[in-house]
Amino acid sequence: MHRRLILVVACLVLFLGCSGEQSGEPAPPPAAVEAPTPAPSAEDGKPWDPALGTATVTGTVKFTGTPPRMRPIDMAGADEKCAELHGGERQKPETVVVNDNGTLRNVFVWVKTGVEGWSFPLPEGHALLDQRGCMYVPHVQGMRTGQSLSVKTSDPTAHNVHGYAKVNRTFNRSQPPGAADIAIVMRRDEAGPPLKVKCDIHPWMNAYVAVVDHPYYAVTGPDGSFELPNLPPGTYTVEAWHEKYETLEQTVTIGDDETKTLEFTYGG
Amino acid sequence: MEPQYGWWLPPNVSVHGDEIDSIIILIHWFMLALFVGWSIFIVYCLVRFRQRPGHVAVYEPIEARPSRWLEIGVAVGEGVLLIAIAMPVWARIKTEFPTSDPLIVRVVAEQFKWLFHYPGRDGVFGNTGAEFFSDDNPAGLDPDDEAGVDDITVRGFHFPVGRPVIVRLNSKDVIHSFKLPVMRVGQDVIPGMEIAVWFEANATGKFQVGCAQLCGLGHYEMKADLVIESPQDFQAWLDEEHRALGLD
Repeated sequence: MHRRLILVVACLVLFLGCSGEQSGEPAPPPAAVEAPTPAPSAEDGKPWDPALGTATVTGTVKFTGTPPRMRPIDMAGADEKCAELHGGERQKPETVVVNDNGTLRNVFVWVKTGVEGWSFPLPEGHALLDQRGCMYVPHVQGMRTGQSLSVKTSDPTAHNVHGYAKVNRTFNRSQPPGAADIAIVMRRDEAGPPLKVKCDIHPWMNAYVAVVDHPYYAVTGPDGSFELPNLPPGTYTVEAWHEKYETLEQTVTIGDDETKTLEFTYGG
Repeated sequence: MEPQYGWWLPPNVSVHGDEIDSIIILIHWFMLALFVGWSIFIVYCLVRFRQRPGHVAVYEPIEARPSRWLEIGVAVGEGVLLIAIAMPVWARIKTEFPTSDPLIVRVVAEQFKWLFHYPGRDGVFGNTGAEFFSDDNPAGLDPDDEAGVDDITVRGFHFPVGRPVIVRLNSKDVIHSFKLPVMRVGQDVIPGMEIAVWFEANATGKFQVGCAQLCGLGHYEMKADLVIESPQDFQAWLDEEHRALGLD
């Protein structure tokens, strides 16, 4: 008798719990994963005045020493279709990519402190994460808090998009060939560290997405440089994050119409 | 890929496969005999002891000497089977490994793929450890160990026909089960343990490695190519993998 009562109560609690969550917000569109509550962020600050953005921080991320050897990935043994997309040529992990000019690629550089109190308008459109040749493109990217991450598949094989978010809500969605893009709205700041996205079917696939509540971020490319334009004059902590190495920080003070150059150096 | 699964057992390309198959077949015949025998007995009881006027059920247990001796006999027989036959066979399989030039392969299981680790041209495995696992080092090789530089880490399982193969099974995350249906091999892979199992193929072909333990959402995708080759083709494959490392 008691057991039956407990069962009934448990079912009731479960039912109420579920319906309570749904009533907090209209049901999300089928392809979107949304956080249950809008997050407090820069939206609370005063509206940004573009006329103030006259200063710029630029720089490069250097790499010294011998970079670790990246073993070629054997896609063929796991999924022939992946290997065929590269004509059988083995790809290397994008973890440590040192450019010809001795700079480090895929470093996320952003203003960590100094721009609080402003509310910056969101850019048009989505941040895009493509699955191409069983690799994520781009490997590292930044996006704005409140913006939507659109995950696309260009591959003739099935993927699953598994986001290991620690601040935002985690997600795990499968995406067969030709499936519609998956839109994931990032409601909260998550840049220290960025969230990791993995494919559980192809374990070599991984990408990092940093979610920032302002537009002052960049990812180093083939020349290892970065530029953070349109900053208001002030003092800022600029952070450089790399997936394998420690996080580096520098403080910089810039005035009106000024450009300052920073240099971060990583060692192998 | 050759067709593997019809209505009966998958093809057998293992030297010990016939023995396993004969046990499987014997057990099935034995179970069929038990099933038919007990079914007949149940039907007999239903008819013989059906409700009829003038017949009353007896609720006391029946004390019968022959049935007690029969029960003791069955228990002793099963004990002998377990202690005298099953345990020694199991001990031999789990502790005695071939010593005549076996191919040793380290296998790392993770959600949801297999990774196969072969020693390089030096024939020596590089040091490995859980602390070295990363996205660009799925085999967990010690980056400072020179012996590991030429090691081969691939996602397909290749081995030659007619040579014993010892696999050393490791798991990075949860319990998996290393399943080679055509080799009649199945062994659970337990995190924190390295479990070895051996087998030998008697025919070439391309088959599949599977995971026989539900290990998560992507369990169905946890498979790899199983390629059994002639010794010459296997050597050619090894050479090709060495070239792919870019060390030549």
